[in-house]
Amino acid sequence: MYCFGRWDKDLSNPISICERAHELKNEYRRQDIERIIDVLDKVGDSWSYNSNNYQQAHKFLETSFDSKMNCYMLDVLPLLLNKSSLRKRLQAEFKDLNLLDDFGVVPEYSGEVYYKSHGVLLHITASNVVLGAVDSLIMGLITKNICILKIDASMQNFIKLFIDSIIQIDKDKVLADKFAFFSWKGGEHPCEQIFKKNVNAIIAWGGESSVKSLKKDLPLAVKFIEHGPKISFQVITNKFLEENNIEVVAKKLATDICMWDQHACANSQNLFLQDDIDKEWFLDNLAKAMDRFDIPLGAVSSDEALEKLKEKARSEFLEFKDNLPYRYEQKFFISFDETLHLRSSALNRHLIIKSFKSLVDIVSAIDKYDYYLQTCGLGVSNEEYPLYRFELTSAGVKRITQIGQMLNSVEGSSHDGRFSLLELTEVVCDESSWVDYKHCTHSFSKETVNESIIRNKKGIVYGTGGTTGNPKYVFYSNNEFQRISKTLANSYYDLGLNNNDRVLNLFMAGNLWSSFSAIQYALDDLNVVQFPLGGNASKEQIIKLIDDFNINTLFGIPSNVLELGKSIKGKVKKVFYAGEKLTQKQFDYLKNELLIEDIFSAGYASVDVGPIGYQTRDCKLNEHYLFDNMLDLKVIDGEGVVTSKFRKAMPIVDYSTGDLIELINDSDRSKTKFKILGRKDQTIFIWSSRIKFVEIAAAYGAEDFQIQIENEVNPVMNIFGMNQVSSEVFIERLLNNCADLRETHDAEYLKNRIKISKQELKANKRTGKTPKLIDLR
Amino acid sequence: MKGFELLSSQNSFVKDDNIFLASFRETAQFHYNNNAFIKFLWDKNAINPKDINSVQDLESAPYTLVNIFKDFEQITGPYSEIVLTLGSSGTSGQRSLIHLNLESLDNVKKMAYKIHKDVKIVDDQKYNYLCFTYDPKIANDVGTAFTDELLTSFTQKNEVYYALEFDNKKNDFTFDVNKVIQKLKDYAQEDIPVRILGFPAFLYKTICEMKESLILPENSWVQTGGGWKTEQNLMLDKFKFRDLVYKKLNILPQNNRDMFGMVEHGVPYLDCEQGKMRIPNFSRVLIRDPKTLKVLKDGEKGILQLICTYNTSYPAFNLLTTDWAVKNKDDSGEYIEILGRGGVNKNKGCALKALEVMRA
Repeated sequence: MYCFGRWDKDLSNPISICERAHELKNEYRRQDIERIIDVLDKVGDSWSYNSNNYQQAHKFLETSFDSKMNCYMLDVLPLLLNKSSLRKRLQAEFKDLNLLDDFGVVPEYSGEVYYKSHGVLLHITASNVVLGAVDSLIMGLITKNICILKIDASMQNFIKLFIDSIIQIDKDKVLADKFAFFSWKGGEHPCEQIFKKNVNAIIAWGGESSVKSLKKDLPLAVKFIEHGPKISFQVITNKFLEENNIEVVAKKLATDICMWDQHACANSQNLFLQDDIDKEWFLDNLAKAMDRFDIPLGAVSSDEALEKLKEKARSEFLEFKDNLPYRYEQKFFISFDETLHLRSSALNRHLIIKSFKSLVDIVSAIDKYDYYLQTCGLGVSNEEYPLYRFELTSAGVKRITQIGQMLNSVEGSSHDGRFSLLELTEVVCDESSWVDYKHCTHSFSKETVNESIIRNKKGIVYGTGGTTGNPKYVFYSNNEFQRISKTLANSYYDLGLNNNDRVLNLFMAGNLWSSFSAIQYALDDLNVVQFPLGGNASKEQIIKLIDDFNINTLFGIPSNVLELGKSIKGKVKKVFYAGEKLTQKQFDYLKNELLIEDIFSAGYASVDVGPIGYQTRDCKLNEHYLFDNMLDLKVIDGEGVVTSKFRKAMPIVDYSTGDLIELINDSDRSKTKFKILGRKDQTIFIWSSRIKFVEIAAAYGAEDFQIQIENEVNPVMNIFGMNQVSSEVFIERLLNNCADLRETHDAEYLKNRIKISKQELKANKRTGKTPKLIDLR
Repeated sequence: MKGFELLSSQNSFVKDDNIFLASFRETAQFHYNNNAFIKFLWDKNAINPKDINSVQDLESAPYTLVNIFKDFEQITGPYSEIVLTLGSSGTSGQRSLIHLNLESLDNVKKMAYKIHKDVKIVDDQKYNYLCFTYDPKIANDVGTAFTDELLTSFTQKNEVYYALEFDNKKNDFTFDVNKVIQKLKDYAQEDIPVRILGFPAFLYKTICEMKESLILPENSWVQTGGGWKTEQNLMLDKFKFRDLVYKKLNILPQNNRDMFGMVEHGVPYLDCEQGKMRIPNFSRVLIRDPKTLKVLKDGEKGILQLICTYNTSYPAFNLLTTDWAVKNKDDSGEYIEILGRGGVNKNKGCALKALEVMRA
């Protein structure tokens, strides 16, 4: 046996094995999930097609399957261990992988959650199912359980090879010393009783009697996770066959029946065929497809042959009694049954067909067998689909697939109606982390940040303004920040950013700024190619990079993107902007002059709050949807006020965004849509009057302008921009728009104090942004 | 229908192929004429009962698998002639119903008597009986109980005690081991020899519970049958079992006889003194490979096929069982060794298999 990093001859002392397992469990719980995934991913690489391991294993595999099926099995192994597949599986059940490492926030819950492994997990695997045993071990390891694995003696050579491959890769012993295995031929191992009573949980795969016997006399403290025997079936209606080619249908049905020689729980054993379909015609077509199935039937034992013989005798009798046809061949066997009740077939590619009139017949045939039901391969028309799905699952079916897909599981699917990985953990809650938002105010002082660092340990600090003498900071825990990047990544994905894109990140880097790194983390999740150049690079440098690498996507503030001008025309197809408002004119320029196909907001966000809104393709310029599951939004006096639902490290409560927001009611009511109108504080105090930017924009006739105010004693307002407007017209319009100014001064007073100049806007060299106001007073 | 000529032979274990084949043709023809399914099977295989003229020809006679009798009720001839309906014990949840007309029932009884007589189990002496079986007064349709009642008829009876008693409260049969031990102790005090009949697992469990050995009167017997059923894990080798019974109950090993029988096939296969289940002239046994269906040679393990001729109301005269067996031959003739129930009882994967009965 293999025992936590050592090969042992036998299982001499099961008690000490259990003690060792319990000693290791906390150490393994502290291991980073990402490291575990990395190791398994590398192990998977070492099993790629025709690798040394692959070839060796092919020799060692002692299965009843044909060698082609064994090859298929070995091909699946690296896919099971692949990083992205492991992540997907975990994410589907835990949503956030970090919650396997430590406490963290989850949507719609006020406290914090941690998925703690059970500790020591005993695996009892079904005999002869090599992949099942390996997968059970993987499941245990990625949920950070110390695993003790009992396997059938026929699999031991293969499992030894698999363990050797882990030892080879995992030099740091991330997981190589976190499991043990012993093999045993049939029945109960003498040590099993000791293991059963000294582990935290048992996961059992296999037949009814073995699952039942394991369950017997189990201490209450041991969690028992059973995966007993299951049965799956197919349904074919007349309408479906009218809409689909019979040869294609038959081929798909044959795959569901023939793969793994029907030893898997998802293999179809019965088929419900609507009774107005010609039986002989259907049988001929299915027989042809099963005959041509490209993986030959493996070895059939004498006992299995006897099962087939029993069914053949039954078919012969039914042929006599009810004139029901059948096809009995060495390679396959298809029979009709006179009753509707679900019945296990002889396996080894034997299908029992049952005729039904309507859905009610199928439901009455299956609903007593709820526990045993697993997959239904559904071959029905689109109109029939919703009702069949509802009724069959109500009767106990746990999984619906298309025909031909019964053996192909979508990563993250439930198994036997439960989430298998989740079952291997306990959901632990920390309610003390609940934030009483009613009695909480946000603070960005260094003291608050220091407190957060002490409490959360892992995290990230950004600067959020303040003055040189009294700077402000904001702290995000890793868990919070990763949730942000994931949320952003999802929104970019929905906007069409995909792994064919080459993305240049032109946000400003360093200086405790958040946007550059937030975007970088989000892009990490999307598997795109990134060029993290930052916004301080010269125009030449940027253009060269775009040319050298065919970069097609830019992330950055509008000013930086616009500055690149015609040199990116026809090259860059996607622009994601943030940090400044994009005006309609700028948008039109990018779209029409520079031929940018997709121009979207990279998200409405602030460093204090995190992301607030995201765009979808239906959003007009400056329109966003609220990240509803992360924030609440109120509009007070036109200003957006948000409360974060997930920020625990530094709570954000009734935080004024400073932006003027207008809620839009025409959207889907389940989502909040809003438009950003501008900054609330965009008001200049000059000549004893308050003038809003929007009033200046209206007078200027465009949004692209810059205001420079000079002379502290006798202030002069310079308006820069490319619009053609005379100062007389401007002054007249401004007085019309701005009541406060009108009540204080007249046009004569303003004549020498307002100057309009046609000139390019000036960007701030440090931030890259083009400020609306340059106040030199 | 002519009489059952095989009964008139001198000894059940003297083989006479001619008489057997004639009897077989007659029985097969009767079923062929009176049972549509049998006719269908023979016609489908393009063979007629008249074609069976040698032992070799028996191999090509269409057989019926035992599960057909469990799944579909079978009868030859009119129901009105049925005098007894028996049910198999249904180890795996399914039961056969076996219908016997007067002639067939008579044949079963006579055949059993003759075979037991020829292996010297029939005795005029009076015996106390302990039957590890259902009380036939209550379970009168269960074949094994019928068999045990039949078996107690081969001697004079003093007392008959049925160990599986019906409990009205539980509405089921119960087995009280302490009561059984007490009964054995009582029997040991008497001068009358004892015959213990029934399922071996119950006797084994009883012996295991006994703290002290008992000395049962001389010439006591054990006649087990019906196999170890759901207690396969307890199953002991026949000769170890004989030794254990001798040590605990003082019953001589040669007086400890096992029997293989099937309610679908009324010919009993009894242990001789050496513990070999002898094949009487009332039947022929073939062993087949379930994959190729070829008839195997002596000594090769395969599926047991039983051929008999006594029954005209139940079409199981050529029965392919689901039991593993070997046929062998020694100086005293042919015998069989039963090697357990066939079929898949161990999962290769996670698919539900046939022997796992879905309980609704």
